[in-house]
Amino acid sequence: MRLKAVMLGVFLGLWGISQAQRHTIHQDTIATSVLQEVVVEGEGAQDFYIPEKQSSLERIMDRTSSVNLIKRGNYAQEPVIQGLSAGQINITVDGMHVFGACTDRMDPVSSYVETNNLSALQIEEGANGNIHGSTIGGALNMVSPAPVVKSEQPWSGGLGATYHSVSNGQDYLGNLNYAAGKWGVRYSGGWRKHQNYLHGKGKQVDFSQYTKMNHSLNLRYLLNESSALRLSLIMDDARDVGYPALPMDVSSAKGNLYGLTYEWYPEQGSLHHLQAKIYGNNITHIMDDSKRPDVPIRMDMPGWSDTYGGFVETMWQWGRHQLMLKTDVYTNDVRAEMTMYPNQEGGIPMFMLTWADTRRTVGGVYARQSTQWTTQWKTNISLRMDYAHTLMTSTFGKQQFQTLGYAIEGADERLLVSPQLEVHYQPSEQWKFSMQGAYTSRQPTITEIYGFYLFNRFDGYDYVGSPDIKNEKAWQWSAKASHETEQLQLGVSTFAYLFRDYIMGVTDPSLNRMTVGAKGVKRYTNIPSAYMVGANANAHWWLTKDLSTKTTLQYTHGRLEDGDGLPMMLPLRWQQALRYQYKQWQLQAEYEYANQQNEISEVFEEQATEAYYLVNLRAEYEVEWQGKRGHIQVGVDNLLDAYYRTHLDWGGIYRPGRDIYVGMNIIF
Amino acid sequence: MKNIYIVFAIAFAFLFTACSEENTVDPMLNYTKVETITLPNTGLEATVWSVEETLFAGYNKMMVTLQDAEGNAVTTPSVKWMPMMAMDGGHSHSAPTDQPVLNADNGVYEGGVTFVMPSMGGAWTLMLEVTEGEQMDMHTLPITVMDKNSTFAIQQANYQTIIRKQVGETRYFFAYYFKEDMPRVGEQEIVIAAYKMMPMDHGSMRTAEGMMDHGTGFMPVTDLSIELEAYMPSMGHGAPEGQQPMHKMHGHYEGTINFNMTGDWQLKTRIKMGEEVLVNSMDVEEDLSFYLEF
Repeated sequence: MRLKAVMLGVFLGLWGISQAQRHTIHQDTIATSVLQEVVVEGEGAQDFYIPEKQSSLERIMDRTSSVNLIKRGNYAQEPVIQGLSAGQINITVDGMHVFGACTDRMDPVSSYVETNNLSALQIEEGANGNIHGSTIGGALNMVSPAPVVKSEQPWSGGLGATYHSVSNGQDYLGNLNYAAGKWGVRYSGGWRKHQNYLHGKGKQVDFSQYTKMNHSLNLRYLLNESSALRLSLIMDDARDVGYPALPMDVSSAKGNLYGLTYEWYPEQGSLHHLQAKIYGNNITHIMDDSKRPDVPIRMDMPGWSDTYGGFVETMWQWGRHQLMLKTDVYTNDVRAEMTMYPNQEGGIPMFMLTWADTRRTVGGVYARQSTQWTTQWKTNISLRMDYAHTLMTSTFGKQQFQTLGYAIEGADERLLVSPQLEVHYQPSEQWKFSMQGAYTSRQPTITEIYGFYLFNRFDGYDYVGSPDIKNEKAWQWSAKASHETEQLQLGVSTFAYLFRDYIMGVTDPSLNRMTVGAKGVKRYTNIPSAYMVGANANAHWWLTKDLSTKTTLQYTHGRLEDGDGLPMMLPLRWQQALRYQYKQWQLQAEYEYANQQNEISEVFEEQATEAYYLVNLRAEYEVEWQGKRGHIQVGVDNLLDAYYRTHLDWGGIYRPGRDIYVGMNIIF
Repeated sequence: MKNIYIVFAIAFAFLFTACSEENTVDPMLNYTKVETITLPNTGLEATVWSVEETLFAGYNKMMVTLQDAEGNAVTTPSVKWMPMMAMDGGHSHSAPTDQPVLNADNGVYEGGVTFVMPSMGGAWTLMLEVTEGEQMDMHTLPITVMDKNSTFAIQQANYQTIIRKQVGETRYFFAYYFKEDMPRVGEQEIVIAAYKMMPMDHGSMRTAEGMMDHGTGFMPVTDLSIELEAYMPSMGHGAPEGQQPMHKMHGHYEGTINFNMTGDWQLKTRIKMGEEVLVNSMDVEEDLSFYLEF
């Protein structure tokens, strides 16, 4: 699998795959078992992206070089890859498609997992994300850890806890592994409870609290030395989740994810690896405004999303050629309701389906052929093809769309084809270059096709879908360069997207708003042309054996064909970290700066965002006792108590102010 | 081999049974029985049905089914009806009617009555006339017509199921109904029925000879321009505009209306006769408008 290529590590990974040695299940399990923290693949050797041991997944993602977060509250922030999000990217868990059940995107898939039931976070930008389904912006694949199967030490595990002052928050994570010959079982659990946080001016941000519980169970059984079966279960239960940037909160968000995987590493022959998986997941998301003091209309907005699917992935290798083939299929059923209870006496409840019962079935194939022409030159040619069949099964929903002038009778059928070509050039051990061009397409989300009066708090409009909307397409281009020595890892990446039929909401003055206070109604519409360019850069420099520094820079810029800005474009963001390691001590100072963003989307009614800078300090002390390791961590995020928000934050809500945290963990 | 034939035979039997059941779906399944009466002269049994659970002031779609003594549907007689309100003050009046017409597809006589007022202050009856050859039965049913407005969750004096408007010497009556019987979410056909009561004639007066041939005293109004706008009072929003009603026949104006959710719906209306505005709740909030909840 080709992984995020901005950072230095990606090139190692690319060459590593092509020259990979055959390995057995045994080796694989031991490798993953050692990792007690989630590894962001491609982010370099040191875990600068982990602020503290019990950190949430969102905090980790926000510190990577290509993922940012759309923030609507202190929980369940939505990942953005190089300025693209939602239906423009794929988010998967062990390759399993999962779709949130919230029409307002309050439950991105990443909110249903925990850091301690992940071993790796794979970020694949642009067309590279096609391995998990047709996409334009890329993919985020969360990899769960495999249980240890063979070990001299049958029992292993870890426990940790952290307290955060800014939200009076408590985070507890733990995992336990039992290895019994051919069997291995790994349980991990987590519980988080945070109250309303204080922003940089010391004021409480109401409705920013959350509570989350997560359980994960993984069983692995070795059929023989080259194949294994694995059963994975994740149960996530978040309650009393506030969203200060939205008019509603979430009383309950539950996700059950499960899958059965067969893995085979043949000892001989061209087939290098085979993985087959069947899976399912069921999401229930209950949104309401029962705790909001003054609302014109009380609302309940439950949503459900059930997905079942499977895939077979094979890796073939012969000579200097390598071929990856993957075929997958899934079906996703969604339904979301809105019941409104007027405040005035005598009003009767009103009801609509914001996602009428809809079933989307997608089947596709992905092929990537890699050829190592010489020690310096390598090419990758890949192709993704998907057939998508979307059927609204609700008569009520079809009748709703009559009011918008649509007669929905049959299914929505689409064919997506996304080819990609990459060229890699490595003139020396230190320097590596690559270029890639691709034509990618993605199907509209169910919201973009069949969404019905979905209120968007960001711009204050109700959104309706367009059953006749076309696929969004993009010509993509990227170029990357990296340099590596023992003291320095340097990576630079630039990218460009030329969109065709870019999908966004456009005001339809012929429609009346539904939500009280909404400015009007927008229909999802294809904008003929738009573009986006951007760059990422990072450097990891070992000043001495004990002292290192890491720099990360990000920038995106995009415009529609009429010159208006693309929404949610991050201005220049600079993260600088300095780490000093002395015996058991690790000290780290961080600086983050984001430029002001005045290039805004007028259509999306964005507002300019001011520049800000942050200073964070961290200290960690490692303890060893009878062969067990432990860590004591203290730190301050936002030391200067900056009053700030990023350009991706909704609702003018400011981020947490100074946060002093204390944590400890033990690994046995 | 023999077993295969048996399996096929059973399968066909199931299919046949299924088809038979499909063909015998009771056409009156979703309707409310008002009354069943025995007609001595024709030897038939007549049942009067309504779309809604109770009759109400406004346009009521009503039906009649006829059965012989063996319970078989009978579709050859002619059926007429005449509503009559006996006011407490001593006089009486009728109501605009669409006389029952046989629907050959289901054997049901379908029509409508616009009750211009509820039973409060008087008593409604419905006289049913069934003629089969030389035989004729006339039967008068006492019926209760409710004030539907009183059951609505939102109580507003100007929200009506029937709009009564006095303009000069003329009293106008406007009522609505849905071609699909009941309102639903989506685009649907709506009919506005418009009548005027003849001046100085409080409907058709009961006479010793009966009243079937005297008409109702209400005349369809056929030269109006009618506009409708769906509006949800508790949410303060409307719905996408449908096709405005156009006159079809007998004072019935047919158009379409959109409801994008269930709940309380006000149908603001602007009704004009030439340049004369009869009703205008689209511009004047206090003016009368149609209203419904579902």
